[in-house]
Amino acid sequence: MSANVSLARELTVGATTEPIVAWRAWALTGHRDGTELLLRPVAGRSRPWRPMEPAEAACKHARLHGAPNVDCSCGLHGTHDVEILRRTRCPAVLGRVAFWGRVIEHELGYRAQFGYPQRLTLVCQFCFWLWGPHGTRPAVVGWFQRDELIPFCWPHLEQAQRYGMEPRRLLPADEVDLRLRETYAVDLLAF
Amino acid sequence: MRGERPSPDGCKGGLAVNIGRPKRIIEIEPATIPLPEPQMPMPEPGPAPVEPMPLEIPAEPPGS
Repeated sequence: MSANVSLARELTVGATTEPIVAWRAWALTGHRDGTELLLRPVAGRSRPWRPMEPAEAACKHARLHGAPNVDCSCGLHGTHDVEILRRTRCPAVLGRVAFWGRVIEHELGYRAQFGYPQRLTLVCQFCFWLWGPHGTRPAVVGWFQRDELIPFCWPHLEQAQRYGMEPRRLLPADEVDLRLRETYAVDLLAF
Repeated sequence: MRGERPSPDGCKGGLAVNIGRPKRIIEIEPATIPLPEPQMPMPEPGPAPVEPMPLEIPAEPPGS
């Protein structure tokens, strides 16, 4: 088969009125006082997910195709299973997300046109990598350059500091977690 | 090479995890968009409600 033939011709197309709910991880940014919280994709420099409005997929090749496109990797990504997210680069927030519009289902997840988080919680990314979603409650959130916010449990904060990862400020994780959920008007993701 | 073609440069985003090959396309038009309801602003506290003054009823009607 030629590599230039679109995969779209091989896929079935269905229609429904029920949004799909998937797992997703985000990076987090905010001001030094823990305000102006924004969920951001963990990879690339894609647009942030703004509170109270649907995130919409975009592609650098928007003039060639809309997002998501079957033959591209664009779209808002989510997974069937939370465990696969342990391979995510630097997750700060874990959650359930609703997808709608044009959604491409993959073997292990989805790529969607529109999305909005439904449940959120902060995670210590090191605990999450090591042990999965259980027991990843962070104690503090470190504020770094470029407003990057990284949640840590105490042992992993100490470990990060030993390797030169020094937050400029520490915020109580419970307060940031609550403010994040209030900002996006969503519920706590509980395990 | 189904599902194995490289993505165009600069079109990578998402989770940085492999979600496998595409299986199907779903067009979802939800009856209601799954967004939270706009939050109503809290009403400003007004003056405390005034309790009605108890009517004083004379023990005996005047002129009785």
